[in-house]
Amino acid sequence: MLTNYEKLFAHLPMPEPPEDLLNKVMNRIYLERRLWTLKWRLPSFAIGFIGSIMAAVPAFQVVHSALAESGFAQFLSLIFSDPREVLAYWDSFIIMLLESLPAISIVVFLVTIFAMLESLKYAVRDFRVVLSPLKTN
Amino acid sequence: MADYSDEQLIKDYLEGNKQTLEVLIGRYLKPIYGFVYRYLGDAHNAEDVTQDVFVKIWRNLKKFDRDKNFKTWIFTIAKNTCLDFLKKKRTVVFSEYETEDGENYLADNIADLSPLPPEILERTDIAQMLSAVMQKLSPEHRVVLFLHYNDHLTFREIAEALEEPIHTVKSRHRRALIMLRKLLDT
Repeated sequence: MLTNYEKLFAHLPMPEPPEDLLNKVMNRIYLERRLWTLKWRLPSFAIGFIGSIMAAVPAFQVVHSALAESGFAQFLSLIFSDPREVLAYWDSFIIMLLESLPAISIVVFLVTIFAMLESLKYAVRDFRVVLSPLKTN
Repeated sequence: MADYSDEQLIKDYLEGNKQTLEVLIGRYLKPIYGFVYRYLGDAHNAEDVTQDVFVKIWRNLKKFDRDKNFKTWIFTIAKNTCLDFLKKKRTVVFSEYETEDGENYLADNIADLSPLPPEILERTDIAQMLSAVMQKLSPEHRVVLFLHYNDHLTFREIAEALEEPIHTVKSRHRRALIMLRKLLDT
C-alpha cells in the first residue's frame, strides 16, 4: 500500500529555490550580524573606551601627586647632580628608587590605559564589521 | 568540507570557521525551501520565509543541543516560522473538507485505506493533479505527507520536528492519505 504512495509522491517535483537564494540568506545573516554589532557591541566598547579615559585622567593625577610626595623625582635627579655617588652605590640607589615608587597608583593607571586600548581595539574591529561590504557573488 | 557531518560543521563554525556556515546552509537550502513552499503555497513568500528560517537557525546555533538531530531541529524552526508568518498575515488556514471543530467528513466517511489503483500512477498529468490535490489538504496534513514521502523523514523525526506526539503524526498521516485517495478518485 505505502509503496504505491511513495511512487505517487516521486512524481511531485521538488520546488527549486531561486539561484540567488543562498546569497540572499548569507547577506541577511551578515546584515543581522552588523545590526547586532551596531546595537550592542560597538556602544559597549565605545562606553568602555570613554569610561577608561575618564578613569585614566584621575589615575594619572594620583600617580603624579604620589610621585611628587614620595620624593622619587628628587632621588632620580641625583643621577644628574651626583653621578659618581650614584654609580658607587648603584644597587642601594636602585632599591631606593623602587621603594619610592607609588606602585599601587602606577598599577591602577596602567590598568586604565590597558582597558582603554583593549576597548579601542574591539571598537575598531567591530566598526570594520559594520562597514564591511555585503557579498555580491 | 562537503563531507563533514552537520555536527562537525556546527562545531567548526562555533570555533571560528565562518565558511562552514555557508556549507551547512547550502546543504539544507533546498529541503527547507521545499518545506516552506509547500506549507505556505506560494513561491514569493517562501523565499522571504526561508531567509527568516536560516537567520533564526544562525541566531540559535549556539543553543543547539548537539546530542539532538540537527535536521529535525531545523524543520521545527521552519514549521514555527511558517506558522508565525501565517498568524501575522492573519490567514485562516483550513481545508475545505474540515469543520471548525476539526472534523473531517472526507476522512471520516472512508473506512479503509486501500492501495492506489495503478491507472492513477500512469496518468501523464499526475504531477499537476497531485499538486492541485495537495493544495486542498490543510497545511498540517500536507506537511506530514511531504516530510515523509519527499524529505524521507521517519514518523519519529516528523514528530520531533513538528513537536507533536508520534501517534498524532501517524494518525494525521493516515487521514491525509485517506483524503488524498478520495480526492484523486474524484
